[in-house]
Amino acid sequence: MSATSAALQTLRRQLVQSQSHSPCRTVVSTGLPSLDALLPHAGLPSGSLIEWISDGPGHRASSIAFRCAIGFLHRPGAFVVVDGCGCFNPAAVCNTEIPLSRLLVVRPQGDRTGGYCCSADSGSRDSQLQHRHRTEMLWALEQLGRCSGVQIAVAWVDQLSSTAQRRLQLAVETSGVTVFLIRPAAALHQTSWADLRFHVQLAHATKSVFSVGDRSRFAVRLIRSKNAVQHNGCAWLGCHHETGNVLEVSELARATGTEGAAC
Amino acid sequence: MCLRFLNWPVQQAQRELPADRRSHVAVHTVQSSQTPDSSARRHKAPVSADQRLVRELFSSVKGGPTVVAVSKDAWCAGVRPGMPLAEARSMSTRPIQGTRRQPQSPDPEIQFLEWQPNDDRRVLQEAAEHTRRFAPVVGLDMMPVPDSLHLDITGCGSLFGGESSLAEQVINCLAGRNFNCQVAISDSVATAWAFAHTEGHVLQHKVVRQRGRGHRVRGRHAELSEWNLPIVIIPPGQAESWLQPLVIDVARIPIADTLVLRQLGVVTIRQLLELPEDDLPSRLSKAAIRRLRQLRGIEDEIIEAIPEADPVQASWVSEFPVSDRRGICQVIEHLTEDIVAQLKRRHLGTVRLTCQLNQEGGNRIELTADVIRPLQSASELFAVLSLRLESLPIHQAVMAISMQSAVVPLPTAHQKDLFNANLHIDPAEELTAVVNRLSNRLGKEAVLTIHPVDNPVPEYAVELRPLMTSQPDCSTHTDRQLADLVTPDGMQSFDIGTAERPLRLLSTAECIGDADTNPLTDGFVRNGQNCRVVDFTGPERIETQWWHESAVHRDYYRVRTSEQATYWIYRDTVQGAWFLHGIFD
Repeated sequence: MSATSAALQTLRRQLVQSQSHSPCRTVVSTGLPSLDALLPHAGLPSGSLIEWISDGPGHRASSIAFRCAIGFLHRPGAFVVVDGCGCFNPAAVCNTEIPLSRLLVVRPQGDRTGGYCCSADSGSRDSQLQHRHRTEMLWALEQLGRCSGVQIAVAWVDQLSSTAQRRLQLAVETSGVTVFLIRPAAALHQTSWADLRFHVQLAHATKSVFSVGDRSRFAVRLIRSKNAVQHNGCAWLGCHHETGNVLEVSELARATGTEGAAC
Repeated sequence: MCLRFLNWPVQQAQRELPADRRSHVAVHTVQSSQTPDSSARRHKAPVSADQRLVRELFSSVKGGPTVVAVSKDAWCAGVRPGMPLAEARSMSTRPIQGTRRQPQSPDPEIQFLEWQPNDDRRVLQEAAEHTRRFAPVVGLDMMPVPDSLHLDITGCGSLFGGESSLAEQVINCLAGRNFNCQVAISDSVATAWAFAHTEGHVLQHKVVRQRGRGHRVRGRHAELSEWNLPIVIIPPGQAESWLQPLVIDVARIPIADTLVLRQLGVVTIRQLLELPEDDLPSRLSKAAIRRLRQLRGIEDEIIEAIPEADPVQASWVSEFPVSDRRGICQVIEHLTEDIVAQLKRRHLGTVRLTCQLNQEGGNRIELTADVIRPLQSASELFAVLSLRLESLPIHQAVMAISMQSAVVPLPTAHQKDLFNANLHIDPAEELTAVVNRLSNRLGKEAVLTIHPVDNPVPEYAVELRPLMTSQPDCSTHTDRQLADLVTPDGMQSFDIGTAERPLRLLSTAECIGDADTNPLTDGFVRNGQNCRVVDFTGPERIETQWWHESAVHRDYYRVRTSEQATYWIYRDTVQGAWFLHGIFD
């Protein structure tokens, strides 16, 4: 083959590639082998929408999501936290491998509404104002989802219409940004466009399990996986009592403290 | 680039005198009882700063008029800056009274002219207009008694055949208008100012030392003439080493701090830079520390641009007012395109577009769109402006719209690949675009970067600062922040402590019990639900020193409730009350 025809072939191939809009997806390990084992490609796909559903505030779904986000930070792009509630505490991530210099916080409103809020007074707010703030937050999230300068975005979202979720999913599919949505248990009964959906449940630990030096533990179930065979079972994770780091729980430890886990 | 107008008060005075009477000139302050002219009243603040500096410099003669600056010939005649005017006059053979504008003597030996700092300032600004074609941003020196202009010539050198050629052309251009200048080019405003205000032979000493003993040393006279050239160009990255032998006066630190440093035996910049940074706040003023940080390149210094005589602006007026938002958007789009066309002609970018909408009832709505890095794209600027427009209530029809742009030099552009648009994507550039949109729609306070603070109180352990500052500029600081945000190699870790902190921290701690209750044993109520504590760890005591204004004395506990949620609660050890502060989510 002559050099000219080789060059032409290369150009033709590049032209075809440039016409296909979807960026090639890569898989990023969660850093937790038992969780990776649940996933169709043994990791979280980039350019996807991933939901983390928690039974309630204080059940460590956010900690697990942040733990799984670390793998994305080895690639260029910012780590954005959309904090509609205004309660995100950046000092909490200092013990993880997430550097503060990579973190960008977006607070659509200085006011404490709009997100999956942990404040006590959120329910008493004017619903119209809440709706406006929620709209602003979703707009911000969609903008971030379209930006290839962002590597991963994390947001706490309580209510999300199917249309808004679909828009977001299409946005991240095009740009290659990964979006983690941390949602309350009510979201379990809603339809979802998410590529992956996890349910985080806290195991009912005994007194001895929770004592100093040990870990609290939770079960993470994959309840939806788009376009892939779903793996059964759940990953058992623990949270270090002192540092708060999310770790895997050994088989032996799991056997002693799993009375209430619905798995 | 720092462009220094040599012996400026005297040079300015000489410019207004006939050529044969320019040699012997001394400029003096006016007595405080004498009424300043109207221009002085208009610019009261800078004049007072100028006068203050002169009083500080010549503290021995606070009472009466003092000589501020003298020409070379007047110096040779024995007149010195800081000398009382009466004494200086006595040294002149034929002293003559008068103002700069109306010298009364037809043939004076020494011309004693009144110092008019406002006029000096105004003429400097006029001179800046002549330098605009060399640099997009020209600013006046912000020191009291300014004698310099700052030019941002980043990326401009190649347009004039190199930086030396550019400097030469600037000097020639001003020499043609009777200005006598010298130029220093360096990495930062602070270092350029320092080199522009240093005589050449001081810099020469450094080179002679570097050459070593074996090098042939020429006569002192020849060396001085060789080194007292009007152009000094410091190679990139070498400014700090060249600064070392200079005296501390060129660091622009306040006089009071200079005196303190001299008392401590700190005379040169080298000694100043060697001082431990932690000790400086106890010895020097904040202004001095800021100047020092600017000199070291830790802190950026913005050139405050002198407003252009011919600004980049566009306007639209109609006798048929536009009432619908779509029509207004269309007009704004056309005006943005007009502005961008002007920017392209001048090879400039913009960081701020200000748009004024004049309504039928005489109301005016001002719309400002800021961008984090200079732009020259009509579509992006219009997108940002329309985001701002969306949030504006427009109840009346609009009759006229005017738009003005703040101009800055453009950053270096990168060419993109034809076949793979992603190949040359710069994540920082992409992030810039989204930050522009978010900051303009949600407000600057909505997009925040995180900076750790040495404070034990949990709510103050980190500081959230807007990425887009209120003074948008093309400073390297913002670029660095953006680069850090997107670069894996730029990952910095901060050690705030090893103890776990909750991921959700309530902005205001919720009171869950008074001094008579104990939530650890009795439980507490949150959102109308009883939370029974099944386990807890603690206390972790967090307190500040007693002399702090809002002292904190807290015992924190991590509690797990019967609902399996983990909370962070504390007892105020002074009041005894209990509060819920965070959630380990």
